[in-house]
Amino acid sequence: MNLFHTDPFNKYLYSSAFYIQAANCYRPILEGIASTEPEQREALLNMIQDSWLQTMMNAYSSTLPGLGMVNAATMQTNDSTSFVRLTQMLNRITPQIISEVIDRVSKHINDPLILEDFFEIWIETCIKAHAELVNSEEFIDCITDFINFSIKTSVETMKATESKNG
Amino acid sequence: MDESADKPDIEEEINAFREKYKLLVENFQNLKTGQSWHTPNDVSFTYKGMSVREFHGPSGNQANPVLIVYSHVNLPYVTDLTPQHSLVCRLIEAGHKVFLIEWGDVNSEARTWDLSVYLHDYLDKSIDFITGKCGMDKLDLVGICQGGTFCLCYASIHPEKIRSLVTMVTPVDFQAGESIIWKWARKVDFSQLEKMPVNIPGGMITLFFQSLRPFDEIMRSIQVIQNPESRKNLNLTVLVDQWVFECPDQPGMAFAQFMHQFYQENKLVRGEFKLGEHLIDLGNIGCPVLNLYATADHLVPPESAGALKNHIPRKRYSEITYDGGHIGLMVGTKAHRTILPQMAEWLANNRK
Repeated sequence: MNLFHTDPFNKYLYSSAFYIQAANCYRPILEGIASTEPEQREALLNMIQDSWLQTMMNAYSSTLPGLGMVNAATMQTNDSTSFVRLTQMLNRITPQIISEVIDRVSKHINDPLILEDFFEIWIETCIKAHAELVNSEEFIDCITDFINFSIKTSVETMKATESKNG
Repeated sequence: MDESADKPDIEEEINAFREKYKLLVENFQNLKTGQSWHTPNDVSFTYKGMSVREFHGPSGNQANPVLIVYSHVNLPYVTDLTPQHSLVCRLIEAGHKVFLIEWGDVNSEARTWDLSVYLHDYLDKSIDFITGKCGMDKLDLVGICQGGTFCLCYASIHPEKIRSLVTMVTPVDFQAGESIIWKWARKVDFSQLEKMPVNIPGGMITLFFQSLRPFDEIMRSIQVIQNPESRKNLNLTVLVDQWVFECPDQPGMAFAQFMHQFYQENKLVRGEFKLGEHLIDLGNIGCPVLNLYATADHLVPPESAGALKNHIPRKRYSEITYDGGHIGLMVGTKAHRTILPQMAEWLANNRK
């Protein structure tokens, strides 16, 4: 799933895929909240954290390398390094975000939310997580590294072209 | 009692959602798409790559020329998408003769052009052409976003040519209000780009804007799918989306200067920005100024745009705030019913 699309029609397709992914997280959340077995409950909630993280990573996966989730040093080696950094950043904020989702959904345990209302909570947490991410110094440093690297590469290419053309 | 009776039927909701999605896709078949102007117009002046578009309407008066100056980072046709969502129409309805500057394609030659080409040369040539054509000494400027910043600079150099100035969602104090653009740009080394300019691909600019609030966009898309009411303006939504995805390439030198001198060094409000031989002093602006800005603007925070009030004498300064976002002030239904007609009327009243 590409979060940053360049076709205005495709955004509905991608958004729909995101909606279905959220729906798939709603089932274990309901089961986790309803469970009276602490171990089962914890396992389900861990699974939800993993699912949420996976949803976010899927959403970012296709474009964040191009947006700066790589630095000048890692760019030439392996893009997966950037995802390690992104995963670390997301891992730090995930427990708090999932806990917030659980709290809000739990309030409706006797009259569970319909999927559409759950999605509202889900997307709000994603909006909040993304805002924290893009405003964090760590993320901004990644962006800065990437832009500086891009400028440096483009300038060197231009210099080489000019030199070749005399 | 069956316990499942109280649980939401997720599968059923997903199926219903899929049906709504299919319906939306069917609706797409009948939509008008692609870049287009609603109001009849022609290009009445060209200079190098730049052109001036002149709009023709039943009530446009030659004695009331207005030049719309749009940002260089997006295309200006967003000012005239549909009759109900056209800044051009709101101005024509109030009796103005409307012109609009198009900066032109960014070719390899443009990579070395500095800001003076856009802020001074292009604007000056356009304004001289329009005032000459209309037989007037002065005209009104409506500057939008970065175009507003350009207009402020120009009006401080040539106050004698400007009758009234409207700034819309215009950054003034580039570091006020926790601007995300400033945050992301503040450590970038633009000096390399100034020494050896390279044009910036428009796709990269689009990607930047998309990356700021991607989940808000998903939320809006889901609302459009779920809620038939929100599809009333589906054609407008698609037209705006297409416009959002069409950021033009940026001329390397001018872009680097803008990011470096305006965002990183905040020279405009410090009175330190020099355009050729001209030191830009906002205090030189001698005309009435109306500042329109949006309270929920994530690109130009209200603190950034609102800072203009600190630089224009109170008797010549007015402002109107819009309870919405950056793009909403240009294309939003509410803005077109209230704020933009007020703005057009303010311009008309300044001539009396």
